[in-house]
Amino acid sequence: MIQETELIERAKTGDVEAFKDLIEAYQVKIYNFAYYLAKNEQDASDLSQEAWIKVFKQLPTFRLDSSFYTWCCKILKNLFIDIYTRRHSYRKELPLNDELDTKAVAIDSLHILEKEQRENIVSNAVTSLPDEFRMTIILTDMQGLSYEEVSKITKVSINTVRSRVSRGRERLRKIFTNVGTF
Amino acid sequence: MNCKKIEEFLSAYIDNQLSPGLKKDVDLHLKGCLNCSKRLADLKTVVGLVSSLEPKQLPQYYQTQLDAKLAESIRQDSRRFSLWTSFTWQMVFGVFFLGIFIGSGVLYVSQKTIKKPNEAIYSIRINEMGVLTFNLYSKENVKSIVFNVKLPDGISLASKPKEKTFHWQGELVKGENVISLYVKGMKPGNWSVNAHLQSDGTILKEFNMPLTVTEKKG
Repeated sequence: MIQETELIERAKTGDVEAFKDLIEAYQVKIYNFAYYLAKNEQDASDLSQEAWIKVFKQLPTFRLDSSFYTWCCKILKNLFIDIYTRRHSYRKELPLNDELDTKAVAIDSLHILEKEQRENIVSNAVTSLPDEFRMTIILTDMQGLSYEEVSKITKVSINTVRSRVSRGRERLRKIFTNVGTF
Repeated sequence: MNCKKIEEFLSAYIDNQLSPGLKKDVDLHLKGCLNCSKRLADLKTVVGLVSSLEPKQLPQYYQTQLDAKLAESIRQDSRRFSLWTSFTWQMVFGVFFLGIFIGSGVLYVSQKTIKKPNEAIYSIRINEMGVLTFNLYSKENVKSIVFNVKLPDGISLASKPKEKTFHWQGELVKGENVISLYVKGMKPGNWSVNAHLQSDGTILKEFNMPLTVTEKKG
């Protein structure tokens, strides 16, 4: 099994097959990051594919001072900010108090819903978060990155990451909690 | 420490991001506070729900689109890479670049590079190999496309000199599609490569590409 560093070194010299092996290793994760940023399949495809092209072009500058995946996420995040927040229209963010597609459900009762229904509720709740909270929750809770890695990707301090994680999860908790009891 | 303060630390507590001293304070508070314990349990549920979300699967044409974009990016950068084994919908025998655009089912060839009728645009020498790259731009995904190429006497497929025809069957994805063909010059002269694109038995477009094979120098 070829080590990732060897693939990266080969890809840096222009070995497209090596680069495609790298894509294969991370394309689902990168696509999912793009999906929850862009909030729809078409934009997610465009965003993630543009990110891979940019990764390939910038590969000679990659110095292995972070993980390859972290570096790819940083490129995708920058693309999202540069292209999708300034130029492209995408689904309008819903403030917390607006009615969402999903009804508020008791957090304790989520587990009894059918898996697909539950996944839709959770997925919609995540996509309803404001950009900075959503990005942080995707990277920490969905992708399992550490606060340090998220700090490198989002270029904010670890304390800010900590705060965004806390506030993002709190928003999700409020979405899931039944608010109609008083 | 009061509940409002503790709530700020609960996420970091879940992620083991608290200093030992602070963790101890939170532990102590949680032991005696049902509200904060419930809130902690809810947050853990939130984390569990989000972390266990099934990853979204790649769309059906994602890989094909990405391959095409990567190939185009490489071509534009004029770098030399090995593309031969890359694409499942490409046969690797090449000739020259010709841009073909499909819009609303109509296929047209850019007239900008054609100076006179029957004037050869490209040329190769005898026994020289060249790459023909067909860029097919489609406004939508199209299934069951057949691309047929017929080579004249003076040109052959690079890896199969006795073959004079090339057939490719596959799908076009929305956006750019690339088909590359490698051919070899066999006999000097002005030749014409014939090709047509068809879908469901209907020929969408036929075209002829003039091509000159020249003698070797010296």
